[in-house]
Amino acid sequence: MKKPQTINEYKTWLKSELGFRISGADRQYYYSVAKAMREQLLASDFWCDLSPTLERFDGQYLSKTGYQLLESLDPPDILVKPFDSFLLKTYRKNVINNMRWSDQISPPSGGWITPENWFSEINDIIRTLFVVRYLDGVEFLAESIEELASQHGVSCTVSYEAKETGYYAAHLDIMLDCEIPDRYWGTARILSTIEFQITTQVQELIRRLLHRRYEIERKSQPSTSVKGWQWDYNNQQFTLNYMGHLLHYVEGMIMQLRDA
Amino acid sequence: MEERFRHYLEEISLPVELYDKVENILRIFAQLSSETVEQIFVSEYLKPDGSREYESLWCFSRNLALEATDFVVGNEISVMRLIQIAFLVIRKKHYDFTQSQNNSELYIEYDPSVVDRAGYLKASGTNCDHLKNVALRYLAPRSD
Repeated sequence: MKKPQTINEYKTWLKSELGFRISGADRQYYYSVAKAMREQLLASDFWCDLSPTLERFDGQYLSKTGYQLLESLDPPDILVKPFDSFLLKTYRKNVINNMRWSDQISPPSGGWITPENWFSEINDIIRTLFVVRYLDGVEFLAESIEELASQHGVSCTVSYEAKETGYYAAHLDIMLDCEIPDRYWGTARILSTIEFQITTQVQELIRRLLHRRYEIERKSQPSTSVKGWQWDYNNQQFTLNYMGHLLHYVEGMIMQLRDA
Repeated sequence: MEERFRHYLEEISLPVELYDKVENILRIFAQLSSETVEQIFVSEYLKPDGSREYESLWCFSRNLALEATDFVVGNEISVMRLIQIAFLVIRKKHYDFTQSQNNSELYIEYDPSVVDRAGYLKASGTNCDHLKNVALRYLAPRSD
């Protein structure tokens, strides 16, 4: 079986091979579930406590370093991943990044991601972004939120992302027990993951520039060019990716100067 | 708002504070089309505590269907020509498609033939009878 090469081929493949027909009803249901998840995060004790606690974190960082931690003390917006981006992510996990599917069709290590399990398997349907002023603020805030989550008995896993493409941020996977509308009847309970991202002001600026390109890039298979983007200095990808790395390095240098 | 619409909203226990929203959406429909709204429907499902979670508000006229998605807090409205409905799925639970009971549930999924505007409507309790009427009158595939 040939791997689907586009999102439309992926939809056809989902229907023919796994028996799931993706229609506008799935899109509508997705937003209904996402709305329920978002509302439950906003109503959770953890989030209600986190919003006012940001000021305390900022004060602790200020007394430790002499500088402010956050760009804004207001709680960040809670965003819902658009359905098209969500479906694209399942395509990446099932097909593009599925190294077990070479000659013969084979599911990824955790099994196929389908409408039956994708609300539990995809970790950033609901996400938010905290923006800090300095590079060391990423780790400081990540640890502070992790500790607060622990106090509330909420599972929180921190990872520090450093991608080849120049993306740098801390990701916190917050587990939330959610009551969501069932596809057909009443409600169902799932354990879903909410993603908190923490990055610096400078990286945030770059990621805004990169976002649109990432979406286009992710819709296609990885480049099979022998040379790779690292040698294609006329390509926009070369400029943007290295700008991400360069700025991360500069932010590290700023830290050394600041704390000298 | 017409009295029969108000009765319907009372029957499905929609909070009175939301009636203004319904009226506002009916006004928008009147601005968008000269057709008269014949029927309204609120898609909803039952929560474990027995209360209803209201999703979208629908307004049906002879040829048009307006959907106010997530109308309790949302602001998105879409309008569809009913003539394009070509595919219908009916799922029912504790419901004989004649007379609803308190524990009845009904799910209707529709799919227009030419555009990707498929969607669904849900109902519980006596609202199932209203959804059945909506499905039979407006969403059942037509041959014309």
